[in-house]
Amino acid sequence: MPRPITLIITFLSLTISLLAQTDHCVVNNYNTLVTISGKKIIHQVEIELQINNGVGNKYTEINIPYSGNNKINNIEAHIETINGEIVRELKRKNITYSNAYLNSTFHSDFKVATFSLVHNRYPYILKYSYEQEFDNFISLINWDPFIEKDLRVKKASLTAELPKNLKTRNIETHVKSAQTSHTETSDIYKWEVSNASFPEREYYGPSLSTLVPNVEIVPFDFFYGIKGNSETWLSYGNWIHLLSQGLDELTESEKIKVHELCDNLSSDKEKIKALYNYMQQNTRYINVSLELGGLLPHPASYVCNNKYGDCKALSNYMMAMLKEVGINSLCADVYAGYNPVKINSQYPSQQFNHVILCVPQEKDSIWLECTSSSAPINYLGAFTQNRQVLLIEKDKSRLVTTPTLLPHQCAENYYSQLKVNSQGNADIEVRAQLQGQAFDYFESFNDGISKDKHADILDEIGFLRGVDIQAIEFDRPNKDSALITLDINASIPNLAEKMGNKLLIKPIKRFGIKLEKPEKRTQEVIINYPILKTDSICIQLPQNITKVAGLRETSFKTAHGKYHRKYWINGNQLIVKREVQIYAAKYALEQYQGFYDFTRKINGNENQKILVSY
Amino acid sequence: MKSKVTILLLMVVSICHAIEHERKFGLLTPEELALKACEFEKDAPAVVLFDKAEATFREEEGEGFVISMKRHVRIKIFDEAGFDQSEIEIRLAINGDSREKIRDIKAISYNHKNNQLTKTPLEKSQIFTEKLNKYWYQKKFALPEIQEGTIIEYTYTLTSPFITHFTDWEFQTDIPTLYSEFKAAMIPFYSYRYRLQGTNRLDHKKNYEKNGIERSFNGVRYNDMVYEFGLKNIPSFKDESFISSRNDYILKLDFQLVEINHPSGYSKKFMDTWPSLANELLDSDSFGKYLKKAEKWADKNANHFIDLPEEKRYSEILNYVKNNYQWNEYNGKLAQHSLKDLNKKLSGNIANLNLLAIGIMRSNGLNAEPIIISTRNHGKVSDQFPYSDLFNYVLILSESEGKYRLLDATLANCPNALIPSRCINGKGFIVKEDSESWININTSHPSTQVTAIDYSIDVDNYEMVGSCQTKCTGYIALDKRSSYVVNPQKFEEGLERYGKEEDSELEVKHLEEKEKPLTYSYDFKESIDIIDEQIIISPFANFAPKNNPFKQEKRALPIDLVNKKGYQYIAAITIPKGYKIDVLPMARKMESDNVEFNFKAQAVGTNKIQIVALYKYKKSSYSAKSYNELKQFMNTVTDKMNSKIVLVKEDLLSQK
Repeated sequence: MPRPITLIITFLSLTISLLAQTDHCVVNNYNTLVTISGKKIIHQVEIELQINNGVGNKYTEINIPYSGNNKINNIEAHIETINGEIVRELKRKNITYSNAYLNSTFHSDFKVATFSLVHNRYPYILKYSYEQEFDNFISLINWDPFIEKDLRVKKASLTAELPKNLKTRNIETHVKSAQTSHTETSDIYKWEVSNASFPEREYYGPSLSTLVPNVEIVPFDFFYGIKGNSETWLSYGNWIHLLSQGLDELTESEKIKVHELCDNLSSDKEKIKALYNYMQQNTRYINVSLELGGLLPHPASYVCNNKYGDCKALSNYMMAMLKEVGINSLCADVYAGYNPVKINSQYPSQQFNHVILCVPQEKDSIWLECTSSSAPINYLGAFTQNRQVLLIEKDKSRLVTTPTLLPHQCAENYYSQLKVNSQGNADIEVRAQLQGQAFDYFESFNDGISKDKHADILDEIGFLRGVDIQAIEFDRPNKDSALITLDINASIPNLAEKMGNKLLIKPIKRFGIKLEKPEKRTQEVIINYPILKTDSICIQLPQNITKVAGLRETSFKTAHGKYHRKYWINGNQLIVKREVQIYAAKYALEQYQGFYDFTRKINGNENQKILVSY
Repeated sequence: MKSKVTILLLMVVSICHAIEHERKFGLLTPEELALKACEFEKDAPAVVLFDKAEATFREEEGEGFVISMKRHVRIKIFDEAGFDQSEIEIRLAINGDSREKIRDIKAISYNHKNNQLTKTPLEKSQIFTEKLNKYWYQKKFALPEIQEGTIIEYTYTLTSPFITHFTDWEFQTDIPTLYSEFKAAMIPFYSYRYRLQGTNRLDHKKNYEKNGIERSFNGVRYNDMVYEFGLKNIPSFKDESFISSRNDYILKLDFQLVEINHPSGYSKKFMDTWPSLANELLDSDSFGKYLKKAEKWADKNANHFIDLPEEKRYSEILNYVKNNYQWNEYNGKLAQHSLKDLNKKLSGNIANLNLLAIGIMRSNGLNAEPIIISTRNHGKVSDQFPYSDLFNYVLILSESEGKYRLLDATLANCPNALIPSRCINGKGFIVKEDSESWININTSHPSTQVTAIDYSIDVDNYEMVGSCQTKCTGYIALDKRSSYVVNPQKFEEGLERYGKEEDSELEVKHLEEKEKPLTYSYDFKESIDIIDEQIIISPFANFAPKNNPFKQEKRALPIDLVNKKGYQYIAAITIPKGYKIDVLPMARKMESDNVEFNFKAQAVGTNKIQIVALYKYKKSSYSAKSYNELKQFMNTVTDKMNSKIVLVKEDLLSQK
């Protein structure tokens, strides 16, 4: 008799868990067609969303982003039942057009068309379609199958109907090659993706955009402001060069200023430094992007007058000042980021998001980050180090690699003094000497962020966990070096807990790397720049120490890095020295276990509490 | 003698000067140039030297009177952290075909270096217009040549056709202000009342009739009456956690139109009494008339609840609206769409849905009245100022056998007995003909959470292993329900941070039954310390609060927790074989009018420990004075709840 009941129960719980996993909303179809009409590129997009319940209704607010230069036409939408009966249609007057906000952009002509259509019988279908025209383009389309990160896509397709013999390069990433067919006048390519979900971020994994299925169709000949060609990096570079030609004229008063600064200096190095300092002190980053503003810099005179600009404008302005004193420099297009997308060197195209300046020297070029008012000269930092960039030079444009941050340039050294009182509360003084990414993060702190916010931000990023910060002092002993010191005074409530004649001390400043368990990991590991942290911690207790338990001296080294810890007892003081180093490297999925074990071993050591006997 | 007189005169003049702050666009004073820091806020990255505006009424062709406000601001930037003060955004309102407009924007940056003053004007081409949504657009510009020590100055004239919304004046901003002044030149045809918030003192106040040529309108000759309001040395506004809204605390001046008396004979009382505000709403197409239509519509389409028992009828009607209509995220005391449009779109603003619910209730023989309120992020209302602008939301007041209840039909996951927490904000005005009655918008329902854990110790793996069950009610349940429904996976991941085992199934009870407590349970694992054969455990594993949420050194604003809250933790621990208790935390009890804490740990039998902890906030809001008590209280709570249990090997203990 019990059997059937068990069966029913299993059956019920199965349906419940299935229901729980159902998407609130799913993309049934997402079809894009690219065609060329005269000099215009046309994208026709059709999307079908299925809304399964009330929570899914939030996806019925549709936002279609577009640029003010590119017309968006024929926005149509309707709701239909699952059986195809049309319930409601979108009226033109219910579409709102407004400005779109982009991170770090002050003003741009990016816009967004917004509308919303809902229904209350689930599931239902929302279908919408629109057309976009492009006069200026480098690629015909840069496509991926997702419209929202959290919406699963059942079917997506990209179709390109291109005139016969149009030379293009179709860059396919994580998608099956196109099915091709031909008519008398055109070549037709079709890519399809089914049942795709947006990849999820894994710790120290690659940038997500490299994991997304993607198709980019790059024509050899394109038009963006002017005609361009992307057969080779050289021809592509020539187009960038031509686009910004003639924009390097300084205003007369600025020329006078440049000469005032440089004419008494003899070496190029001194001149570069004087002008870089001048630019850093007098300009700041504001991005106003209109019309071709995504790629066409504002002229140097714009920066002369406003004393602000974006990366292109500021680099172009710096280049113009250097030119005024006879020093040649080159803009370098780069993909900036702490976890960058690697440039695909075989396919010349717009793969960059930032511009820096390179001043060629006889030996080793000088690199200038022109958007920072506090970066040292010739310092690129974790944001732009060690990657291929495109140097723009007439008939000589080429890919080169930026300098690599070495472990000693990334070192973070901490010296901590702790005084633990009889209640177990502690006062801590930390002096940190920071380089590498920590330097990049903090270098502009002193000037750029008002003092009363420093403690909150340190709290937020978890710089020192579980402490009440009382005072913070940043200091950069030398503006030209990539080193910042940080002094913190803080108190740590309940650092230690008294248990009889023993004291249990929580780990202080533990270093930990969080990673997925190997059975859950699906992505490779990328450590973009080396990690090197050293600590000297002196803990002063109210009484003399007779014995310490839980703290072991450890030292190990693997192919991934090193770990080293020692301690001494000196009367009432416990002194711990620790060093962790993790090399910059990439580990394929097969090598993950090894790296995982290495970090587990470090975490195990770092999480250990200390039991002190008096 | 003569010299004495001069001195007196000079003094008088200089006093006037200090107060008046007559300053011309383009002319800086030596003091402004020399200023290195704000005296009363030394760390401030920038200071508003002055912010002055003058509002007047102008006649505009075809529009009648419009308000024209000329504003003049000067700011000194001391260091880089103040650079963003040079990025100016001016928000402008849109209402159908009319909108606020702005003209004559002028801005200059001044830099004083090597005894030379350079002025860089803002180029017209660098002023941008951006549309934000249906109701707002903005003008935006960034001043050129910003450095440490730069003084920026800008002026513009804003014209507004919205006579009822005579501009609010905020004296305070996120940097300190040396002088802020608002001047309103009133005309006889409109009467306003003003309200000063955050202070009862003004450094400068003056009323006078404007001299000069008389103005005339429809044959009436008049002079403007000018009102001046000035404040000096205003500290920057600092946001604090646990407050209802910045709007409630910022130093500001509000104006509200009381009546219009046109010389033509047209006259309209806007807001002199509460009963008239009620009548006006009841007469409005988007409120009273909408409500009537909703009732009629329900007579035909939604009167099938009539046979249910009364309690159930309320509840089923709320469910009906919640399930069939979608809230479009807009607040509003007035219905945004007509009833016809609402029934086409099936989505509308707060007033659309709650007024509809009232209509259906009435049609089904229930008592229900609309109450207008202001939501938490919109600021508090005061019963002394019948300002319709201060309200942005409608709630439902039901009455059954003399018992009143507040209801809301806009949030699907919200139990019918609760109103969304955004509504809990001071008083609500009951909209009833010819009457003024108020009701406190609060909730006596405490929200509770009970966490029960039961675990044993796996000595070999340095782990505690067991199960956890959480049961919650009220707003805690509402929050958890919503986050579970939106993304169950994320919800589970959140629990994994407390120790939930990844492979353990999460069992959720009463997810759909929003009226019942939400219960969920799962298995957890947490590492423990074993040092020299002594087991050291945090009895509540990762579940107890670790950090005190009250972190501030000083507190200026009241602490608003929205509702009463209580948290209970129960741990049952099985002692591993061969071990005995060495250290058990002492019991602790504390209670005041504000809070309560009770902690007790005890051995049960030979191999079990039971610990029960309970802490409660007995009030939903506290005055700033109580901040210290709350801080101390939570220090004790976190301290005690994280104190350790030590178990030792039996033979080790006998050695002692």
